[in-house]
Amino acid sequence: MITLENVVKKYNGNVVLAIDNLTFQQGDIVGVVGNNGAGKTTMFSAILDLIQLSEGHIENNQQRVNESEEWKKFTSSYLDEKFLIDYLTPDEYFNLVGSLKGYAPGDIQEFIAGFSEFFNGEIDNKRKYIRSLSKGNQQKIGIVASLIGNPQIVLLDEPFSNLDPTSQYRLRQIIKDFQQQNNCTFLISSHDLNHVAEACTRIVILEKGKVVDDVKTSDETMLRLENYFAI
Amino acid sequence: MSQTINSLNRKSFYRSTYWQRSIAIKVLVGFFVFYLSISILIMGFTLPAILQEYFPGQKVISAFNQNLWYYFIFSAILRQLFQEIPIVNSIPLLVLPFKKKKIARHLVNKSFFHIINFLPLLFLIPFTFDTVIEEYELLNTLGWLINLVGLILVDHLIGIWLKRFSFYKEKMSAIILGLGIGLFLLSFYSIIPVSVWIGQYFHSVLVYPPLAVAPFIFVVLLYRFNINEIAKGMYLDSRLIPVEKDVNIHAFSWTDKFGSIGKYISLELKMITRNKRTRSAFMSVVFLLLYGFIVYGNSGMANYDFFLIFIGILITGSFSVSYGQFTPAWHSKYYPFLMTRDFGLKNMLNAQYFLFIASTVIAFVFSTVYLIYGAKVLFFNFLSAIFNIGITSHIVLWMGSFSSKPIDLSQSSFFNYQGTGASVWIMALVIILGPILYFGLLSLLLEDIWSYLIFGLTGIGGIIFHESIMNKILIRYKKNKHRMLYSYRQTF
Repeated sequence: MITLENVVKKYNGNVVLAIDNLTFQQGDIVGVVGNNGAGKTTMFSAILDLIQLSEGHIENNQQRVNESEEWKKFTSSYLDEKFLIDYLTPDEYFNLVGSLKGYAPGDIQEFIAGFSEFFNGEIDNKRKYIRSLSKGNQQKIGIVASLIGNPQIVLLDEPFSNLDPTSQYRLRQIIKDFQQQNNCTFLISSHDLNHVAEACTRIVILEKGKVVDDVKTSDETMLRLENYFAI
Repeated sequence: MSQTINSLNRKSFYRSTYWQRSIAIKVLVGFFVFYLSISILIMGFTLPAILQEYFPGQKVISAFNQNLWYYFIFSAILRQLFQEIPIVNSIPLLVLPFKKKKIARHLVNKSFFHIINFLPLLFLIPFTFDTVIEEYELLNTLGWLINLVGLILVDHLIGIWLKRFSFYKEKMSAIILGLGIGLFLLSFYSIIPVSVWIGQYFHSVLVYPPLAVAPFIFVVLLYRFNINEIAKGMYLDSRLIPVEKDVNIHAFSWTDKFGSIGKYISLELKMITRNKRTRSAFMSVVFLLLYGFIVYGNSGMANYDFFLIFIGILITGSFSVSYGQFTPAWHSKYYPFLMTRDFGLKNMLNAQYFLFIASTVIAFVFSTVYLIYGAKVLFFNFLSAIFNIGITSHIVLWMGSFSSKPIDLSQSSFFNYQGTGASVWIMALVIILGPILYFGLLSLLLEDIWSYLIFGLTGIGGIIFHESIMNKILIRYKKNKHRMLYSYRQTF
């Protein structure tokens, strides 16, 4: 579905991303791991055409992301709180995202109700703007909004951070279930090796902008990850 | 310990974003402060003549003494609105080994250095040493001045104390205003001669200078009281630190009637009503609307056609000029969201355009009150309204694609130059001067009636070619997408 070809991103001459060839297939749950500065967020931003590449190109469903905007119809993402409109209430935000996908408010409410366990009753209060909610709850809103409207590709940047342990486990389950139901592709970056090894079917390790490892998840994956990241 | 606090303080001053602004804005703000100071200084010298005129039967000093308290009411209101005591900034200090009282004292001390405490001295000192000293001994004059300084400090400390409930500031200023008006009425109708009593008090200070100590007793008491109160309230959940309360959600559901652009209009309206910065920007719309009352009646300029066009553009385009000039920087915070969703940038821009039309029409309807200044004024406002809809609104949207400064919606816009890059200044020039130059050119070349006609037709032309103009604008937005995303990512 997504292909990165000879992708290079430089900032003031420093190469922050250099990927020769990387393809994500339909149905993959890809975990992107790497230390700070490895280029995870840069890669996601490039796939979403939020930054311009210095060289190379990225294709989403056979179309270059910087030339066609078709990908916006089936690609959803939540990278950080810049993806939230914080003066809306959660419901208004969900309805807005839903209406962009052509859904009526009623359908959206039904869809959101399926996540009531994940929200844990904390965003049901309709009289609060997103900006006055806690970081964790804001993140939950962003993640759930990215699942609205049958997306074929979902990009989540560090979805497990800021969440309490129970919510982390729930999110893991949500991602797996959602993938099963829709056969969509997930790209997830995370610092939490445990969750990545458990939830993802494929793991890509980035270091200084380069892919240093790319494996299908198996029983040894966790060990491999620990070996790689331990000092 | 206090050395550490002072050093932090110095850093917070020099590293404040204020100094990182462009040189042009610093010069502008500097000029404004300079102009204000000079005006007040001159007032100190001309005050006796003014007082003489309004209170002919009275001595200048006694008139001054009797009416001085209005100033204190006025400054008390200003303090409520503009003076902040930055308790929030002290949160990081709470977990460090500082005594709470020390932090509180530091906050109170720091609060004294505020322009509002120095401005009155600018007219008090000339008045004291130009007028008062003519009639009284040096010692008496000094006593009188010191007494006033003491009262300014009392005003300041009471202000700080009230300010603790900062989220009630509008209510608080209204109460003070009400109190002031009440006292004025009581004194004006001589029910209780407040002014006379206050005048007598100041007079007795002049006669018996040691009385000047009295305010300072209150200063010391209030100073300690404030420190204790602030230290007591230094908890994250105390009322000193503002939290956003539950809100009344107005959903603007009537926008559904506008079909596909309805949701964009409703988003825009929600943004305007729910954020501090946009709300206060909206105040300047109201000011521009009322601007006509200031100029039409008073100015000899109102006889010139091009001047009427200038005012007409300002009044009917008040929304496009003051609000539209920051499009799309208003959305800078979540611009990545808009760019990764199938958002329909075209619909968004059309919604913006719709708001420009609606606001222009509303402003024009409002401007019919200026009929009292003659039918000609209304005619020119009508011409300007058409020009604004057809031309100015498109220019505003087109210039928006050059926007490069993000805006933090949670900050108030008074004295806030955030988001004011060079492009905004150029745009203000283009929007306001452009039509005048264009009209001026027309009226130079043609007879009056033809210049009116062509000016109006230009606007109608803009309306007719709206669709193709919008497509051109859209291409610019797409072309500038990455540059805009990059500049909006920069910190505020």
